Amino acid sequence: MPRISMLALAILCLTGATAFAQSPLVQLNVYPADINLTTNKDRQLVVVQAVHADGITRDVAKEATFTLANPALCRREGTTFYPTGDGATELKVEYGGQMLTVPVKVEKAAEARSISFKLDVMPVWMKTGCNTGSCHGAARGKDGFRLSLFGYDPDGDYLRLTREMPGRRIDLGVPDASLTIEKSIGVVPHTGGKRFERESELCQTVIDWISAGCPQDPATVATCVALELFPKSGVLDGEGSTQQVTARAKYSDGTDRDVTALALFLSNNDTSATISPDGTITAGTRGEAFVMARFATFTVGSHFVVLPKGLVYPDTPKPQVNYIDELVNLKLKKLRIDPSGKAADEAFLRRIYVDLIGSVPSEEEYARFMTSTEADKRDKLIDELLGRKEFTEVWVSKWAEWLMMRSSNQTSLKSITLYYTWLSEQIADNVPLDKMVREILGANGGTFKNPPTNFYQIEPDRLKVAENVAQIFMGMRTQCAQCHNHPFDRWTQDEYYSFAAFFSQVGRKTGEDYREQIVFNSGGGEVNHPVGGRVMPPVFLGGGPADTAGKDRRVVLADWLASPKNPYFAQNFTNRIWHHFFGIGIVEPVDDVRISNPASNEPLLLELAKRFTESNYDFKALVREICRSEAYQRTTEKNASNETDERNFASQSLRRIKAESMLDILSQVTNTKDKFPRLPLGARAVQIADGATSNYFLTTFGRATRETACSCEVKMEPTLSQALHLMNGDTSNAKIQQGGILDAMLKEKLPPEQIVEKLYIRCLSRKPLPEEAEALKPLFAEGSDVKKSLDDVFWALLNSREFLFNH
Amino acid sequence: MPRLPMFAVVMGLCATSAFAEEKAAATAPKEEKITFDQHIVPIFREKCGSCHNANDKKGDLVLDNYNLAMQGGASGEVVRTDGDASQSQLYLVVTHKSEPVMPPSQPKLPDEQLTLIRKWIEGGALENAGSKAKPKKNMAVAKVEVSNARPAGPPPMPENLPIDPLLVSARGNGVTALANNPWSSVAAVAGHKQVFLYDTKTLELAGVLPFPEGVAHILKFSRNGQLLMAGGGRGSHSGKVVVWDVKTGKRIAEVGSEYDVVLAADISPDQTQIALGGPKKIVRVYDVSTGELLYEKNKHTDWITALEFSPDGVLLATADRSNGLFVWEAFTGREFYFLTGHTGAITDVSWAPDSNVLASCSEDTTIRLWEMQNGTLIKNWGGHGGGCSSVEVTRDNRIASTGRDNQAKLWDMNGAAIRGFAGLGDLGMEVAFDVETDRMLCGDLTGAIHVWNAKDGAVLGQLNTNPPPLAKRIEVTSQAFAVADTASAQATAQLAALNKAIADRKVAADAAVKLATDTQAAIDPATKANAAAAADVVAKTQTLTVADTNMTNAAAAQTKAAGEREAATKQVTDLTAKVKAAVDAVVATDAAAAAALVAVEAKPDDAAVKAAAADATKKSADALAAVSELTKLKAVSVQQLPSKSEAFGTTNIALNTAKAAREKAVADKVASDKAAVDAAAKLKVTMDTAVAAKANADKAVAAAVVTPEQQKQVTDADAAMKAAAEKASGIKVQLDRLNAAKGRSFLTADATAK
Repeated sequence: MPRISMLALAILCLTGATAFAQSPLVQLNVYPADINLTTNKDRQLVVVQAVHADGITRDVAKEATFTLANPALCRREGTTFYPTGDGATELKVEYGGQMLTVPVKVEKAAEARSISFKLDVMPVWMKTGCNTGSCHGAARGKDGFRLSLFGYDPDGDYLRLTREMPGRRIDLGVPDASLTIEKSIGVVPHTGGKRFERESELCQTVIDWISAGCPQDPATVATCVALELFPKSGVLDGEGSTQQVTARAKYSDGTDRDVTALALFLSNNDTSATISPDGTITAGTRGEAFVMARFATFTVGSHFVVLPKGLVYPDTPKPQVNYIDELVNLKLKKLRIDPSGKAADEAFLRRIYVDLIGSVPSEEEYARFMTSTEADKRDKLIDELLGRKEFTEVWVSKWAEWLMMRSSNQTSLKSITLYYTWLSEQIADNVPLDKMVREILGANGGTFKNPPTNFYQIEPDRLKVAENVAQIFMGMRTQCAQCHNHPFDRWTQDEYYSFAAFFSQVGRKTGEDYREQIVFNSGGGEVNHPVGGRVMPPVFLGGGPADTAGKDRRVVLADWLASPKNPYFAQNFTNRIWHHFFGIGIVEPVDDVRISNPASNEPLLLELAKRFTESNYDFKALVREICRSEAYQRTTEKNASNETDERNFASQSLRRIKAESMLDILSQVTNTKDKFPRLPLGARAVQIADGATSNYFLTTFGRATRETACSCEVKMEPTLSQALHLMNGDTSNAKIQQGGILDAMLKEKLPPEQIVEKLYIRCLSRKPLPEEAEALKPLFAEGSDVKKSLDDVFWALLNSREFLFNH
Repeated sequence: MPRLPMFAVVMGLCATSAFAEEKAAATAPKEEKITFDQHIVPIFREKCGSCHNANDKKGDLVLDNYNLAMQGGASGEVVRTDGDASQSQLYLVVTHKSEPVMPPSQPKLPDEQLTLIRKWIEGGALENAGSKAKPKKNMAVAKVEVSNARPAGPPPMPENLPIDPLLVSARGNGVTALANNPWSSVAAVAGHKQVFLYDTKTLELAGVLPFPEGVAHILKFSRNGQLLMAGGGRGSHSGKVVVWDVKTGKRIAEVGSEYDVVLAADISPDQTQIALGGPKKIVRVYDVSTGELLYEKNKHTDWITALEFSPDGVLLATADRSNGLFVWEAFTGREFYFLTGHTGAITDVSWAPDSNVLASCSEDTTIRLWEMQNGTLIKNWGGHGGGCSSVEVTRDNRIASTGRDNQAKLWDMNGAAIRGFAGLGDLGMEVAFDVETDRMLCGDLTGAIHVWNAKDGAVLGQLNTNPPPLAKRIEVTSQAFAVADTASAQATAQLAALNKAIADRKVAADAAVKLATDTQAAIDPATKANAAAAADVVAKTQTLTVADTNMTNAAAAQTKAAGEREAATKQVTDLTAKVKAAVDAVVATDAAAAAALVAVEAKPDDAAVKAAAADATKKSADALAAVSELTKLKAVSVQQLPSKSEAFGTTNIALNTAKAAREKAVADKVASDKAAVDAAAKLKVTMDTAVAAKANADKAVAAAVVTPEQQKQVTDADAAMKAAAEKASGIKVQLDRLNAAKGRSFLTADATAK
């Protein structure tokens, strides 16, 4: 049988190369859905996408036939339409027996739109990369010339270009001799090299503007209000296949413009799909890519999947436990990826212990689970572990990282300890997340009496508080927008300061105890925009203006933030929780939600968030669902189809164990006790309340210092110093000696083989493989120092990658 | 393994450049060295020597001598020694790629000769087979005495320079550099690959100097005004400083080889040094005569934006974009002062004439004055909101400045504002001051250089960085001339008309006066005629009277005669009757006498009857006596009667004669009367005419009198005419000048100068 299927496959592969193997056309997409041409400067690139039955999409714009009902209105060049006469008509697009009509409207065909700095010239700098952070967009500019980063300040750019060094950058007399042009076209040395050709449209735009005397735009000039990128998605068939995209900007005056030539195109995965400056996507190796267009303050993206040429994907049914699996598998099917199989019991056992309670199973627990024959023993184990106090500790520790629980000059250790204790209670009581967040954000009172007020004590700067709130509770990094519009997201400076306005009325005063601060609603204070000093009214980030009159702004914000009205809230936390169990978020990094960093599986995230919300933010229930899913329980071993996939949960990921858990596990397996400041001997590292408390081991293994709200605080990367510390440092060796496990076992007169087996189970939650046992045998041959050899084996196990990783 | 080290050694050898060169030389086909002596001079002698020889030196270029050929001509070097034929003027003109094509009015050189020339230049323009080194530039800038006094001789003005811009663009660039000659009314303005010289008095273009290196970012006249120095270049590409002779426009020196534009430069007052700096942050000081680098200063941390030698040539101030302001000893390059105070990019520095005060201006909006005894700040004031961009201390100790507030300002040395000059189209970039005419010049970002009268701030006009082409200017000027000419003609005509009107009125008045006189004169004869006629009338009346009298007399005589005749007749009749009666009476008396006698007889004692009979007897006797008397009388009367009739006839004739005479006299009188009336009428008419003529004449005379108003009109018209004529002639002169400048190039310019 396998041979026959192989043969069939081969035949399919062969035929795949021939034309007739193309699966039938099921749908024709024409973008944009309407063509509006205004003034003779306008044009519209039309994209035609054919969708085949097998999901493959093809760019058929070149093969399609275009028929204009009234050919007098438009002129077609390639697939671009130019206005020739006013009126309305229809464009008929036909391909492969399918036909679509697109309404066409032409206005002011004979009128020329005068050149505009903001509408025409500013996009050039972004398109050609002049105003990126590494070039003239840097805070201090480059080589003496600064542009605002991604053009957030067109008026400033206008001034800098025309007036900062009058006579140098612009030559009004001979536009071609302008340094701006000469550098850009590379005829004189330019650190940034040649940015465009003299003959290019971009260059001509700038030349035209200079020729017109560098006119400044009137205040009434239209602003871009939306950006569209078409097609929205596609499945490209094999390396080299292409898809033209078309980008269209909409303006405040109701017009739209084809900005395909002006938008900056980016791909988040250049190995799978690159996009040329003119908007042609070219498929690379198998994978998926989010192709983005950036124009004005907008970034929009389209999702593209690249498949190997003529890939045949037998859609075999995959095991599914719950909705998580359904959605994960749906995505995998789209990608034609087969998930890895289910992890073996031993692997699952170790993984679920490490993930849920931050320790490894003891020998007894191992034995109990491995000998159990119950069908639902895994589910039972999950439920059991969820009830353990260590589970709470793991999450308290995690929350403590998010909330930056760290003593400092302004936050006393006592405050932090109280804060931590409060947090532990919340998690242990499974307090609904929204309630907890509301309590934190709306907190008023003394930092001792009402510990959540410490949230405002840890970070007194209102702008940073606003940034932290966005990052912690919404998973967004808005920091960029403090100084300029967010380069890769929708957030503008206005939105940043409007959001910060929620925290402009936090009052603070010292309590009776000098260490205690009392946080209260001062009821006054505003945030001013740095450009122009406007008072910014409080506006929910992405949620419209807030009615805060006479209310505590923070309470108003908390009510919105921790509610289903705020779509980011539930998504953020489910994503963070998901990340814990997969080592990678559905959005990754978990605190960098932005348009240009889309979720790898949007439906999954939405569904998780929806159910999380519906369950009244039942955290444990969510964890249970995740742990039960097939996706979680998959082996880390990859198969041929998913070996390049990292983000779609086709296999479990190999994860280095977190610093605190690592130390705890090390102590656990060596049966030693650690002493941390202000904690009893034997306390676990995960229980440390204060981020400022650490030791060498924890620091080396990347324990979060909790100084910022960034998810990057926790360093999960294996490093050389970690390996060296484990090998030569005092931790592992000393612990082996301190714990006295081997001595105890030797005292029990256990044979070395059995001791080795016990060590394996202790450390790796599995028995040694026969070949391992065989290989170790010579160590315990006659005359050898058994104790020393066992020490070595134990040491070797503690230094093995298997021990350091959760797999 | 021994082979490996060997191999390495071989590789190492290969890597040395000597080996590589040798190898390259060995492998490349042996190319013949093209040299001046062997290949080029024959061509030059044949094709170019007739003009560009040591005697004629057309355009100051000599081509038949290697060293002179390499020196170049009036427009600079013509052969590049860096092997770039396409940039060598000589190659460009002989290949007709650049104007003026050479040889003039002749076909191009044969291709093989052109190829030879190209190869020669590309080969490094070698003199002979043995030559390698580049010839040294011999710059024609002589050392001069440093002095603040007015240089001897006429003020340096451009003479016969080409005034056709080398390039005209759609609009002008901002004024990147501007300078005014300290001793003459010449302003230099940077254009694209050219420098314009303007006459600040007439605001006319006086010269165009090619600056193919790019755009000048600094222009400065030497302290004596004889030289113009420009520093500039092409952004991020190359920078240089060149020096021209203001009069001849001859490029006489060039130094520097920057990799970005020269932003700041100055020529020392003794003309031996040129200092320059730019975005490369290094101040370099060159020897003008040799073009050698004397020293360089790299203490600046940002772009050098301004530098200037002190007027005594002792110090050199340099400033940068990061507030750095240094003063160096000009000859040694030793640091003299580091002046701290500015908080923004320094944009310009300028020395006071006494070399003891340095002015600097900055984007921090201030203008600061520093003294050189201790290097302290002595004045500091806000110059221009937004930032100052240019400052200049004039040679009569005033400070001109401009900046981002779209204004130019003039200050005294205490920083007190003398006057502000508004009206710039955009931010001010450069400022200059013409002390000779007391004019303020300020260039802005729109490319306009505004010129004001410093005294009253009156706008005098504009210069710009993009003057129109000569042909266009000629056209415009021609049109202007035509207009002015027409206006002039009109003004002339107007004046003529005014004058003619006055003359006409005068003539009319004269005529009227003459007429009046004439008519006055006509009154006399008329009066005389009238008198004559009157006299005639009198005579005729007399005659008539006489005739009347005569006739009356005659009539009376006739009547008398008739009467006498009648009386005579009547007497006769009467006497007859009387005789009869007397006879009857005699009869009666005789009877009565007889009766009475009887009666007496009867009564003879009665006395009464005797007296009555005596009376009756006496009456009878009387009657008889009467009858005899009467009869005698009758006889006399009858005798008298014919004479009486005859007398009557005579008188009758006389009467008739008298009657005729009277009738004639009457007719004469009538005629005379008529004549008299006529004469009187004529006299009256004449008199009336005379009066009218007199009145008319008076009026005309009155009209002919020129009123002050009219006089003013005339004066005005005259002035207008003169002004128009002057304007027209001015434009004509300008037009002539422009026309004369047609086709003027640097080569011809220099020739004509000679």
